[in-house]
Amino acid sequence: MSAPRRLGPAGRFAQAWISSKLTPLLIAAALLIGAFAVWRLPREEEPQIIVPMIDVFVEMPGASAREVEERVTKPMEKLLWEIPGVEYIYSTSSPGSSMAIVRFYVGQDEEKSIVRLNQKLMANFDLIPPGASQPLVKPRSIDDVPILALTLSSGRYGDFELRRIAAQADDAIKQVPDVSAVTLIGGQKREIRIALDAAKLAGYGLSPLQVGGALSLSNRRLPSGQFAAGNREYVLETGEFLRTAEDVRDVVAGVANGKPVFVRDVAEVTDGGEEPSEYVRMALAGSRQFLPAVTISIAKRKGTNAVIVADNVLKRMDALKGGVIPSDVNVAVTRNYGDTAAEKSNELLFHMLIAVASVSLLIAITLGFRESLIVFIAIPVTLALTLAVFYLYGYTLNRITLFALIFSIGILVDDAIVIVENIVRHWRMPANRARHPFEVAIEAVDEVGNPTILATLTVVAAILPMAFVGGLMGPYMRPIPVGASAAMVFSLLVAFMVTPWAAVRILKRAQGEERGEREDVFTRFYRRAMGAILHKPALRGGFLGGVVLLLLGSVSLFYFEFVKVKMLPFDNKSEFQVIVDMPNGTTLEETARAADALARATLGQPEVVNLQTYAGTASPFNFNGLVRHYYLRRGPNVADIQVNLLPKGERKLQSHEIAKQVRQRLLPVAGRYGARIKVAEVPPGPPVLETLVAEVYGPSLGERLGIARRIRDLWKRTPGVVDVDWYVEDDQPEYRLIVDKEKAALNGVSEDDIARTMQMASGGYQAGLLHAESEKEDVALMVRLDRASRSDLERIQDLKVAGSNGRLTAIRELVRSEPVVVDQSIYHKNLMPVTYVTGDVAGAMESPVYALLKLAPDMARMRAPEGYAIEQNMSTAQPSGAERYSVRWDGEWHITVEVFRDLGIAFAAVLILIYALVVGWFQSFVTPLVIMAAIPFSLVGILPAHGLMGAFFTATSMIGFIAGAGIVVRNSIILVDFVELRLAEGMALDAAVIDAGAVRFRPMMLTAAAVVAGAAIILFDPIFQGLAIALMAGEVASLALSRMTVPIVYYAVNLRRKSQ
Amino acid sequence: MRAIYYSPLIFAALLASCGNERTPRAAAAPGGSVPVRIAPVSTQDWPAVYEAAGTVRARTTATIASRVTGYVERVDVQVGDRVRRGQTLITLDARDFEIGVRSAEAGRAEAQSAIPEADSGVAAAKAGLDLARTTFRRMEELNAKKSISSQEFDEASARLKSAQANYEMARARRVQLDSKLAQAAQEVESATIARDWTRITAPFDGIVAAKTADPGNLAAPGAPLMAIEQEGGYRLEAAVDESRLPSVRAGQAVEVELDALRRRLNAKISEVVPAVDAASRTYVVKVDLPTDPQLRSGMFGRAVFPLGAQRSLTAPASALVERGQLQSVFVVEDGAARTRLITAGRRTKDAVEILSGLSAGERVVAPVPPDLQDGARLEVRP
Repeated sequence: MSAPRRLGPAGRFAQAWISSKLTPLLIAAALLIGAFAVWRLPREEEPQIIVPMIDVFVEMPGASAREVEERVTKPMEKLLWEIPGVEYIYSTSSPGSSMAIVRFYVGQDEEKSIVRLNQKLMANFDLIPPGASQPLVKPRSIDDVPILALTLSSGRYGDFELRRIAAQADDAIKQVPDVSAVTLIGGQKREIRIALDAAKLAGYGLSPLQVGGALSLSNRRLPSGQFAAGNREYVLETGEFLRTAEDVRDVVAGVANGKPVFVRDVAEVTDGGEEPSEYVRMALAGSRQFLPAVTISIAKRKGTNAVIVADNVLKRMDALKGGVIPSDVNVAVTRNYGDTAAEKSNELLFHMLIAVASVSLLIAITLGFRESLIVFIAIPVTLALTLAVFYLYGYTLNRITLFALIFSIGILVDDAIVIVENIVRHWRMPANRARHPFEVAIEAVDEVGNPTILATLTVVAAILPMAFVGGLMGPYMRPIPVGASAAMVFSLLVAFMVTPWAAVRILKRAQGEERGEREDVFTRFYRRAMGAILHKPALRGGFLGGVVLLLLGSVSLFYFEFVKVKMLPFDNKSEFQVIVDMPNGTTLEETARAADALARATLGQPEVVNLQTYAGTASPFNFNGLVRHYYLRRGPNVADIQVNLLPKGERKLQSHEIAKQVRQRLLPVAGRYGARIKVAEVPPGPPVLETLVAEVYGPSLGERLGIARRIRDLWKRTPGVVDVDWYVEDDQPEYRLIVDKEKAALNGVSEDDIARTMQMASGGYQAGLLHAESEKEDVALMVRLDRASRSDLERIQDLKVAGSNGRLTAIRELVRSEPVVVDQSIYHKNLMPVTYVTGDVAGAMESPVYALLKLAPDMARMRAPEGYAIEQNMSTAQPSGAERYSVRWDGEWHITVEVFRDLGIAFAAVLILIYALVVGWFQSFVTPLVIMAAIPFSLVGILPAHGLMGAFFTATSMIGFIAGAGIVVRNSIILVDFVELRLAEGMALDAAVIDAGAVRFRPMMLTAAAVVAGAAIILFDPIFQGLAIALMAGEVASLALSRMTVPIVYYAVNLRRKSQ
Repeated sequence: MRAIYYSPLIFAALLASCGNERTPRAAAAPGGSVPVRIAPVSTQDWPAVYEAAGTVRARTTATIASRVTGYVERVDVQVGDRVRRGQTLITLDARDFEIGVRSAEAGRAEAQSAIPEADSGVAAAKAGLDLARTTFRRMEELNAKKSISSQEFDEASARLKSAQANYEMARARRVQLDSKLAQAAQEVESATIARDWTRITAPFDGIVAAKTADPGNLAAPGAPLMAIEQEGGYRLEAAVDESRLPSVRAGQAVEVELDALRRRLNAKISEVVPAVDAASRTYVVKVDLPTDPQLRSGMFGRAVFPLGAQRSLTAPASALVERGQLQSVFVVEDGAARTRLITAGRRTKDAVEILSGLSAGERVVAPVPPDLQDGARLEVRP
């Protein structure tokens, strides 16, 4: 060993840098790059997943849902389905309108997707049936999610004034750089209301349509060209706009008996707030007072830093206070993703610091203070370079990227440890006493160089395949394999470049005097025990059998539900929403009342800081709401309650626990009002339609509804399944006025006249804008019947229409009314008609996997009308045909299946890669199998640890297990490598394997300790807890087991081979 | 040198310390309780009605025209003026008729002036007759005594007859003169009447409803100059939709709402015009209105026909709080006032129909004290 030999790549590399003056510069440069990356990387709490999602709306007024389905939805779906990259098309055909949500595969280019979709629609405009509108295309992306919500509320000002204040503030906020969409929710817009008096109109012989027409015609101003005179050009303009309510009153609505009839003669004109279509209220925890409120939600531009945008907006708002915003208007920040992002990233950067410090401390204890200093240089340099990779890759600083770093600290430190330890060992060797320390150091680096490269590659091989996980979850967690792999590669470079450089300058050479290979009591016991086991085949078999039994026992914990599987555990966020659905046909006021009562019940929860109720509209949506399309919720029977909780540090309970308690508080209240509620927590990972989703497929709508109803009822009965709902509207009464065509024709009245008159009377007709120049928002001229007159079907028919002879005829004379039921919407998923049943799990069961296992047997007993059992589809694919009734499980189950399936494939790839690497190193087909036998042993630690910690076995646990496999293999390699070295030196097989376990245990333990120290901080994160548990427990278990098992298996295998 | 190693981490720590701001405003619940009166929300009968628009018309209308042809000289009244019977409305140019009167008067004077001459003629004839009769009587006596010749007697007799005839003639002339005088007087009268026709007067107490005459116009017999409506008798002529026919009959009591007067009058249907206007699918219903000095014809009115009753939720009108188009009431819940958003429908003076937001049996604060806020504690007063 002491003889000079040709240096390997590692040695040559170290030689080049160990004395170079460039090395410190490079260290400084790396750290600066890292600092720059930290400064420049946009902060986010959750990573942004790019899922191009485009909503397409088509109107076809008057058509029934069935007709819309056939005329609009189906042809459109078929076209959209032709677009490459489309994963799902969810369509809804409602009476008069069709909506299709087109979701592209995750990671598809947004611009390309939009262009393709637009192109496809444009090219087929000729196929639009008469009566249908052109499609309205609205792309939705994660960047539409508001990062900031400001709620203005006041005890003094009402909805109308607050809206005007908010509109004024909106102007100022828009000016802030990088602000994207700013939306005002709630309040009443200004409107000029022209409430027609039906009897007066009749008295003057005017019809409502004439008044509407007169209003829009007199609100004109047109440039009319120019003329030249006296060598000058003059511009002509004709007409004058309506600017005030007084102008509107003075409009001539028509002529009766040769005299002009003014609008004021036939209508009451008021200038004020519009008729409320939404109510937004705010309540603070202390006061229990519900104040009128307007929420301003602010989104940021793509790729900008939420922290900075939010800060700038808040600064701008502060400047407005006292001026535009009176002091008695309370401005509450009801959402600040900038704040949460900054908080989260700062917290995680701090955690990173702790991880680095604890690993360094560990080194200081085990190796010495100076050694720890070297590690303390090596880790930041590696992390800095990895951060630079994130920056170049376009990632943001979010919980995933930062966890990738924290998680890799424990692993990457190993390279440094190995190098430092070997340099120290070599310096201590008596033979090297007289030699130049640099030379010895290079030699030491070279000695462990190749195994270190192999070990690093093994870890990379274990982590990198996870980058190819598909679905929503793939891009969500992709920074972990990418970041950790980059960190590993950098750690290798640093270990060969920086570590020797620092070691020769920091370490004191004289420090270690000759320390003999003193073995402690455990090692001596180990040697004795191993000697016994190795030499008695029965004992050997018994031991191996015991280990296998232990493994099987651990895995059986899944079966006994001691360890529960859930894709992602619950997060601890400071907000959640309550989604309230009243039966169709509920008035807005009744909905507001129910929302109010629910909100009061919610306020009883001590952790609630404030809440906002949004009746008739949707609260500012989050990523969850984006996927679930909560932002489309509108109408008198829907309400949202946005609940904001105390910050994490100030409350004991986790948000999921609070949500569960709130649900218990709300259920009786909801029952009283007949409301269906969903407590929508922010999901920790990619959002889904609902945790539990059963899609019922089949040919007939009625039968599908029947099956869906049975499923819904079953779910409602099942404890642990909550928030059960289905995508079926309740019957809502509708009156259809059927025109007597002959009578109408005799009076010279067209059906269109009647329909438009009715529309104007009850829905209102916007006869243009009030051209008030300084107004911030559009002020509509709304012609409508007054509320009292249009709240009665009898009275509304008293309205008159003008016939072609100019005479008025009451609508009643020309129509008959027929009570019907509003058509139910028809849903399609990927062109197949479907009925959804949704639910959540809480309480008795927390993971959809178990709900599914419990429900599936009951659902399997359901029969289709033809008598066959309804097939249940657990896979990610849709049923092959809609001819037979079938149920497909979707929701979190879909993602669970997808993720665990992909992770399984990734794991298989990991095994193959590692095998290939080890075969390459040992030039043997059998030895790698011995080495890899250690991989399953980590499960012996992982599963009981999850059970004891009460944690779910989650996707992150799986990631931990897979990543851990790399480290476990690396330990085994060290052992086997040592055994082969000893064998080559001529040691007996039994002595060699025992010696390996005894001598190499210390560095293995050091590696394990580093992993434990590095990952410990992750235990505190609710989502990545599984990763930490899997890494720590897996590492400890495999350390304990592989020390004995791997040598024994190696011995057994080689003994047989030798004997052959 | 070492500071550099720490720098990203220090930077991170610095970031962690900033940007944590919360609005601490959690106002305390209102302290004292507010004394209020409350009222229950109840289901009440609201009349279901049908409203028909109509116009107020007078029952008697006189269209004033001139009897004579003549230029209008003066119009003394304007549309809307109240006039008394006999009051001059229009004066025509009367010069022609003055001349007629004057010439008739002249004729009468001439006749009158002939009377004394005729009278003296009669007197002269009478004197001649008396003389002739005296002479004849003497001659007769003498003749009886045969003291005169028959010749003389015959002469005397002839003179008597002639004197008699003379007298008769004079008398006849006088009588003729009388009748001539009477005729002349008649002529004067008729000329005067004709002259008076140039002053057009009101036929009864009423109101000028229309006026077409202006000074200088030529008024011709039969051409309407003015319309006067008799005061006191008005009715509403409303157009009622065909399908409402069964619920309308003559003699039925209806309410008539007059927007201009802001009043409701109790009235009675006097007549249902039997024919339906096919162009508008309506027929005319005439409703007699009670006497009211403010009524004017042409006024817009609605006849409110009762159709029965409708059960609707009702709250006291004083409970309603309106802010723009936002309507709410304060509901008493657990001793505190809670703002409840509602929509209000029809209203009467003291009640309001609730379309949505309340249920029967709930109690609302009525009247609402100023500055009552959501969440305020209430002290209910009887």
